[in-house]
Amino acid sequence: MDRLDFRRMLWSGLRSARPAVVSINAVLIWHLVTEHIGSIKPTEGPSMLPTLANGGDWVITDRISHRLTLPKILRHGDQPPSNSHPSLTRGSLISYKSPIDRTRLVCKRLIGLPGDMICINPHSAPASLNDQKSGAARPVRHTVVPANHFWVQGDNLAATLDSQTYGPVPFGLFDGQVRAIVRLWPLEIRRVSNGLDYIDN
Amino acid sequence: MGAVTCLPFLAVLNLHVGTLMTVKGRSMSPTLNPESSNMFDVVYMDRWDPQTGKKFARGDVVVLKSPVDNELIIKRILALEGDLVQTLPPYPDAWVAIPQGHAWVEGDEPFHSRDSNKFGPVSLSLIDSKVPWIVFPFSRFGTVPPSPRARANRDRVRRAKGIEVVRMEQAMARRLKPEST
Repeated sequence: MDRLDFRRMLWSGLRSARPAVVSINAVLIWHLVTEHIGSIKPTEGPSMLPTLANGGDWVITDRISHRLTLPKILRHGDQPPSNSHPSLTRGSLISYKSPIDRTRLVCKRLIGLPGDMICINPHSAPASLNDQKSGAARPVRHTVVPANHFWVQGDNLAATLDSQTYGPVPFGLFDGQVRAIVRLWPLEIRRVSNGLDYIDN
Repeated sequence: MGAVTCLPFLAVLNLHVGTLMTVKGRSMSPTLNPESSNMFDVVYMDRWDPQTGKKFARGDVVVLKSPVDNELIIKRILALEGDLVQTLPPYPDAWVAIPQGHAWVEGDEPFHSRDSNKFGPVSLSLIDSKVPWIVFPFSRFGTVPPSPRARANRDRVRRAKGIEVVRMEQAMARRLKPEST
């Protein structure tokens, strides 16, 4: 077999492998898009009731805008960033890696950004916080969210594992912002609204 | 054409399997970037093991996102959840219990390192990758050696046998400094 024959065989082999290469690449590119740009994932659990149902709701997560704009938020350090920030506002739904279980992604409502003072009300805290002592014995505590951290809480204060339990979450665990909630049957797509009301002073 | 075809494959490899990275700074000296070397070390960052949920061990060298400024830092795990650690000066308490899902990380060089003695226990979720091998310089090619202070560090860690993992609420009470009025 001379060299030319070998090259011809190689080319025909590559041509017949083409559909396989194309489909593998399609899967890989789809995966890269869901990892870096945006994804749709199912949610479960009662912690975000009534915003998210106990099961059956899917969330569309935007995983790219925080990569483009997050450094601006971080640079604020201890100064409270303005809430009109296009990328991240208090009250938006976010998903982040659980600080106590590295295999889980959690979806909660963003309450505080660096520099915000948070009031932890023991009477609205989950039952697990109160089971040792009577709720009345626990004082209301205040804390300031440190630089490069955020504060999250579930909408269902009676059954949620969130910053009230594990404290402020480092921005390194931030995964993305939830832009829409999808229910598959009957098909319904809701845009996420800001669930917070501000008290004027 | 052929080179572009394998780009998605390389990107996924980089994202989920591992990659090479240069180490800057002296915090892991003399294990990485020793004083005698005038070049940056290149290490292999293994992303597969952390992402598949493999457990970390005390003594592993890991790359994690700093809870202080989100930069990638390279440190060694001293203690895992449930352990009691004797801390070094900047930390306010003499002993600290590591809460659920967290670890105590320190650099091998005690003075040039901004580590858990500064920012406390870190969440294992912040860990990006494990560092099993040094790739360059070739004279030190191979597995990352144990810390020169491994023995002293082992004495600083008490494995809390029979004591349940610290409740997250207690750990948080430590982390939340009450606001002075």
